[in-house]
Amino acid sequence: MGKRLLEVIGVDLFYGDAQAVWDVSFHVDKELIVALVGTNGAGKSTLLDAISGIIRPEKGKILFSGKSLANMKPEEVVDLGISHVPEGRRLFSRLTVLENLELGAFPSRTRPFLKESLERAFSLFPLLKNRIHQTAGSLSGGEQQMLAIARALMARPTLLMLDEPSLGLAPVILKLMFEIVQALNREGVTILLVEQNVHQTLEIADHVYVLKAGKIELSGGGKDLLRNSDFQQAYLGMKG
Amino acid sequence: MSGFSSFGVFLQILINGILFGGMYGVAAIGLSLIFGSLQIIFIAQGTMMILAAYFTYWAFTLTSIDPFFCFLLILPIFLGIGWAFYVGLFNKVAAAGKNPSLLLAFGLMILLENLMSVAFTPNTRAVTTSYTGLGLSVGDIQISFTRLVVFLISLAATGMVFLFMKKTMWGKAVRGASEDMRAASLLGISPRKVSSLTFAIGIALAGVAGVAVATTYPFDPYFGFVFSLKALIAVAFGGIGSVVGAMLGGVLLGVIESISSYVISGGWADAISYGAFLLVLMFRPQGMFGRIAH
Ligand SMILES: Nc1ncnc2c1ncn2[C@@H]1O[C@H](COP(=O)(O)OP(=O)(O)O)[C@@H](O)[C@H]1O
Ligand SMILES: [Mg+2]
Repeated sequence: MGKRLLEVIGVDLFYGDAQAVWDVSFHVDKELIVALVGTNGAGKSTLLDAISGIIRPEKGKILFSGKSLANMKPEEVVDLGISHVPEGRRLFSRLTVLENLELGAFPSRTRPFLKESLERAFSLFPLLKNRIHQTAGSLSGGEQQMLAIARALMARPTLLMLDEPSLGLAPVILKLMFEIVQALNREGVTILLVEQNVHQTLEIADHVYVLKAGKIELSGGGKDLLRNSDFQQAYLGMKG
Repeated sequence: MSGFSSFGVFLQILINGILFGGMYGVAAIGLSLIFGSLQIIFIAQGTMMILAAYFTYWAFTLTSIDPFFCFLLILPIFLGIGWAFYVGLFNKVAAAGKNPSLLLAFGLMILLENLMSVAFTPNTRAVTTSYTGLGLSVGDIQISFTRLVVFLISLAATGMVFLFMKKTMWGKAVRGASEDMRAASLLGISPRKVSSLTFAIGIALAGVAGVAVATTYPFDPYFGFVFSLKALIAVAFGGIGSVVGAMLGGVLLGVIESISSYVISGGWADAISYGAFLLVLMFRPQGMFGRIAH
């Protein structure tokens, strides 16, 4: 299996009769930050949903550490070590911060480490520690995003998938967000990052796939794409 | 309090209402839990109560099992029935949307009513034990022994469910999943397991409420629908998703009924409680008690 952690091979994805993703292949190597970028509706979230087992490919394969994820349910996928922070965070807004975190450690593999994982979460996100008994719904947008990531980490993932974590964040928090992603990566967590904040994403990503209308249009190292003039014109709003 | 001949009478009516309302409350907690997992009003909740009432009745009549001891039998049996209902029936149709689930619940109600009517005859039944007529007197207030015990059992059931929801991982999972099932599944919570658990607890609570009916009220196979409506009103009073709120909602409904049937007349009790129900839905759809507990 080597360094390849996740492989998506020739995947077609549909909503009913409408095809959203066409023959997409990409991979994520261990301990890297890999990004999927592309405009709204390109199929980024759909791909993450397919990896998590929420929707099933009509064609193609998804392998994690060489093992096929076909027929795996979302609750089984997370137990393998893939945590998915969905678009819009989807916290349990009526539960407290602590309860949200505890549920993050639901899989039996991770439950024995609940205490350790909580400590790790609070050291990564000290802000949350003062809010443990508040409901998640009462947090600010930035705090909610921190909680969503912290909750996903409670399952001790090898691969963390983040769907537009910077959405709706103020610039200062946004910067912090990207720093946290890098810090997690340095701790050894492999990251699959979906973003529309292309510039910052390219700065931190080891490898980037550009998705357009359900197909991979372009891929390359983050820094390389930053210098690629076609890419600059299309996605960074720069004149070539 | 011009409608009451004395404060003692008022207190008596109030206590009767509270004791009676505990039964609504327990049924309402079950209804609220099931709503959290399937997003439907489980209209057969009252009919499940009546099934438990018949169970109590026959256990007592045929084998002289004490109705209060019957609780201990009914709890595991109804947990099992609830689990089987979900795994065998609702799990299969839930994917198709809410309407099929609602129809299924409705069909289940009609089926159970008719089965009970065929098997047990449509005659009204009541469980009369040696202590049925027993009362405690405090001053000039009379408290029925059975109703008091039933109320205390209802409170105990509420307390247990409350603690389960607050303190255990599965309880938290039930609460989380009732907010966002997909988010829950991404954390490793199996929708099937958490829903069957929720359903089991909801039906077990119908069982508890059914024993309460059997020991305090005459019933027949078709009596359940009214209880489903009352439980629904109690849920609306208490706010969906709140265990303590549903119990308080039940008690409030019991008190409203008890007072209005004394002050005006028995026939008005239902009209007034439905009226209060509509007012709550219009002006405080989140319930009267906010979200005290969940
Ligand atoms: N639940 C859904 N039902 C039907 N079509 C959907 C659904 N979710 C997304 N789509 C469609 O699939 C395509 C890809 O969407 P999505 O993966 O959400 O894009 P992105 O995350 O890149 O913005 C879009 O055309 C979108 O309209
Ligand atoms: Mg998206």
